[in-house]
Amino acid sequence: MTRFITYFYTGVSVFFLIYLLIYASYLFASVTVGAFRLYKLEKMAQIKNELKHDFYFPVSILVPAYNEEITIIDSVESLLNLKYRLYEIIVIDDGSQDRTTEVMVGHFQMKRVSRPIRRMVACETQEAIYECRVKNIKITLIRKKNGGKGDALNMGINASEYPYFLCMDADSMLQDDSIERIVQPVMEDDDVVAVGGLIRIAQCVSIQNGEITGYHLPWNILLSMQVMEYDRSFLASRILLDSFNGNLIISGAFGLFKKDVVVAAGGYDRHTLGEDMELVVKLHAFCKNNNIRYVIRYEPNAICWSQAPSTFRDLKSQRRRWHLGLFQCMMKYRHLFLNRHYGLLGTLSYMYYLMYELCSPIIELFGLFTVILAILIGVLNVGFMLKLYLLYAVYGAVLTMTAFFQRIYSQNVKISAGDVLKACVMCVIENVFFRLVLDFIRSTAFFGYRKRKLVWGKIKRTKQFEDS
Amino acid sequence: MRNYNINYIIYFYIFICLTLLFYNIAYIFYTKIREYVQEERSRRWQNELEHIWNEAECTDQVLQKHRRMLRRKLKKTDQLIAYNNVMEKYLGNSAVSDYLGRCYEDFLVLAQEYGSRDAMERAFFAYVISLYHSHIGTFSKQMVNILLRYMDNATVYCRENVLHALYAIGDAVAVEHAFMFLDNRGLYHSPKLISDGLMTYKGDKEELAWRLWTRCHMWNESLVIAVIQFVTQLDADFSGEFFRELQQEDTPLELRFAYIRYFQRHAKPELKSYLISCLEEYDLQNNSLAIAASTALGSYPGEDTVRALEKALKSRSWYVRKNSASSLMHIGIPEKELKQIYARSDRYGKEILEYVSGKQFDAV
Repeated sequence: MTRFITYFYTGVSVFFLIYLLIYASYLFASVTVGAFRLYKLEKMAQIKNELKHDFYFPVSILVPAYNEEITIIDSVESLLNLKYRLYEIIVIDDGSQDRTTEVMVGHFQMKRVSRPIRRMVACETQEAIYECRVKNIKITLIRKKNGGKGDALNMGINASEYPYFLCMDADSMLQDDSIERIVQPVMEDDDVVAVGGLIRIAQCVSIQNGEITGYHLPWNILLSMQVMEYDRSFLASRILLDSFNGNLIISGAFGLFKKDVVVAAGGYDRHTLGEDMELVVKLHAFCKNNNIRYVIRYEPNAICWSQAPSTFRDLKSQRRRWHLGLFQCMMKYRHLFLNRHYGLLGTLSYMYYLMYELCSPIIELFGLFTVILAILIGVLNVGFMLKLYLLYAVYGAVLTMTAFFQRIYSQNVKISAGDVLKACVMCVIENVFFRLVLDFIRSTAFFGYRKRKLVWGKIKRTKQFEDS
Repeated sequence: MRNYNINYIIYFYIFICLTLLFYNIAYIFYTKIREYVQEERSRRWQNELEHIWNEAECTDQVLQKHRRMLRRKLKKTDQLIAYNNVMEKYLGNSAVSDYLGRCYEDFLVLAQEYGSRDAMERAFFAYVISLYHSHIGTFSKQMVNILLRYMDNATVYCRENVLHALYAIGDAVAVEHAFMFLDNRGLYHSPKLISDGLMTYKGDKEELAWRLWTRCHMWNESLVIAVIQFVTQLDADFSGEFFRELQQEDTPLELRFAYIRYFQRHAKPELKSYLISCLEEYDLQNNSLAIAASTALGSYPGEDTVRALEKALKSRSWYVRKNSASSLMHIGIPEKELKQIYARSDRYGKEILEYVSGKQFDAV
């Protein structure tokens, strides 16, 4: 028995040492690469290494909406203020049970039209289509049967008139130069088929006509911690993965896609909770399998401000959905794993998402369990464990701080001394506490999976942008 | 032993933590100091340049001293940024144009100096030259050659800025050489960027268009498309040349689209029958040409066009139906005739016709 315990704990400690070392090195590499890239982008902008142009190409903005009567008008109004020459806005009401359609039709005085829509990708049928023009921008509202976000986006693709489409959430808001920024990688390289933008938390900013007028860290602790988490994630890992075309996800809240490639690949999967990730992995697989030269890029200067859940219940619902979406996608494309045909994508990217995103809650909770067990049977070196844990927490916090402040300074955002202090505290709490909470939520995401595998869950919406 | 090794790893990561913290703090201070220093530099250049532009104070001796300073200081990119910040505010002023003309040789020296820098700095110098050249009446072959050399081992930004500088200089041969360079190296540069950039060319655009057209047949497709798109935006008549190309069977599809778009904008009666035949003879496997023709025919009114478009309303291609309906509206046929076309159309044709016209014919 003693020998078994010794072997068991030797195995566990070696596993965790390697696991944490790889993660720590990954974090370090990604924050360093991310910081360097942002520094370089800043310098490039300063010395006019940009493709500044009056007009690039027309873009269709797709806004799927489900029970968004509170936020939809603000979102569409904010889209009307973008600094971009030619674009259309398509709102897809995915069978809302509230007054989303009525609110839109009333506010923009939309007219019902009998518009035929070509079905290039599968989606539920439309019930009504409304159109109008505001500031010479065409707005289309499609009311359709409920079919989920992927289904709504497919309808948007079918109705879109332009060769590139941009998907975003109905509760999000684009900065006024966001489209200009997100289309630039396409102008640089003809092989770019998709570009992801940076998602930041809307509750931190005051925005007027698409321009940031103030930045502050919210008092809501959940929101503040999500700010830190988003900054680390979008600064760090996405920039690193981008360096070898290895990003497996473009957030559904803000991404640009080349329509003909998406259509050829079959559009969004309508039967998954992670339709955004599924599409990106599908594009990778489709292009690789068909020997199509392609690049999927991440553009950290294209910014979308998105509302984050402010209550624990909403957060739980969101993260459960994300984790199940991740699981469904990883399972669907498991043939990528360690497949030489997919190169670094099938090894590094897939391995990262598998070990450090999908399995991490289980692994981390298993670690916690072994610690408790070790205490009970009296084999724990408490001093060493505390030292290691403290180091891990400080290390994580410092990396998060680097990511947060890098963002603040690279965007010339002014924050108060109080917010600086608050950010430092939040970075520590986020690493020590919030991570464990998220691990718990994610590891329990599979409870009731069979019954609720396509259920999105409700998130309470609040009016965010006062004067857009 | 194992604990001993692990301790080392921990110390290593603590070191990394401290390095990152230090980096963070240092970066913040560096940014603040740099901002201050740049503002100070810009202020100094402002004083210096105002002094030079003031004719009463600018003797030959003062100017010579200033030019020596230009050659010495503007070698540093930060100084060039500060200098340019001031210059951008005053460009267009006659005193500034005169000043630029007198200091042209100094910019030649600097151009050579920046030629040995990395692509980012070369791109910036090319940008500066593109700005200043719009206000200088003359140019030297030497500057053009230096800029062309900038394109070697360059980023897309550097190439774009060099092209803009060449457009600003207004030398057709230089532009042609730049495109030849892109073609020889197999470098992709967005046709949209090129064609829009060519519209900023300071010399005779039509002459440039002819020059590029005569050379572009040897170049890669995206460059030819860029030239056709540029020509499409001009008033120049290339219909004969383009029509000949359009009729060649081996002309690639993308080029055909570009030609058809030219003829949509510059309608030529002799093209009508060709466009109608494109619309009528399309095959299901490749209906792209019919799609383009159905749009272009909107610029070719006439009975035969209306007949062809009406027929195309029954096409199996969704886009042909949609574009044909739009073209019918664009031609502006009388409502009575539109109703008759509607009555003769199939379900799909009726749907699209109602939508593009915004009218409910059944209700009428």
